[in-house]
Amino acid sequence: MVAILGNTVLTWVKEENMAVNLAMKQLLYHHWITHGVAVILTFLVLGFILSRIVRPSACRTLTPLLVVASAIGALGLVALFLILG
Amino acid sequence: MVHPTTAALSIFCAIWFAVEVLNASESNRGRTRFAALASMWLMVATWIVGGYWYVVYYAADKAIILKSAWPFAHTFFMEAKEHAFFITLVLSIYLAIVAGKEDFVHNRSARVLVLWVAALVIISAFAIEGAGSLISMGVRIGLMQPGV
Repeated sequence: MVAILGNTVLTWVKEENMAVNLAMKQLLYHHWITHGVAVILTFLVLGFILSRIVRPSACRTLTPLLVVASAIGALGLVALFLILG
Repeated sequence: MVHPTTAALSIFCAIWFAVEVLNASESNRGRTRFAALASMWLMVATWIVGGYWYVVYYAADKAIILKSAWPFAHTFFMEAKEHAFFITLVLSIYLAIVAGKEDFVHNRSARVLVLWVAALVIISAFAIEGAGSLISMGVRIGLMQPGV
């Protein structure tokens, strides 16, 4: 959830702030490469940590949260590029 | 192109995974995990191959699209697609992790969770495939336009 919403937030930030976009470009050759690596690392690192904390019975609460986070993440991207486009 | 093909195969594997989960039993446990892993690795391959194509070759297509009658093929569809793809990628990795850990025969809430995640992977990947075809159409329209 954090990685999905973080992906949308990072997209908003880098599209609105060219300094961030440029810094991401300088870090790993292309802003999209840096963006992808950041999202996957966030998912893997937080997933590893949280899987040791969260109860095994968390599936029931996780399902609606994950669906809502995915919908908000996707709609946030659509809204951003509708505004910018 | 390779990446729409690996993405389509990943969608098929996610559908296969959902069918196995709907019929979860002791006998199909291995097949269920294999389908989730295949879907994940095909999506990772899509990321690498599609990313290489995007970073190295897309600039020329972008220039054609922006001068064409369909600039929105880049300004909306490509921009949304290249960022929404990370949602699909994260979900397909998550699907493989849950498939490797949970017992779908006895845990109903885990079955519901992975069926939702598989549905999100399938729907979002299909939407991205559709956006990809509109981007290709944008290039073709640009190339047919005099002066582009």
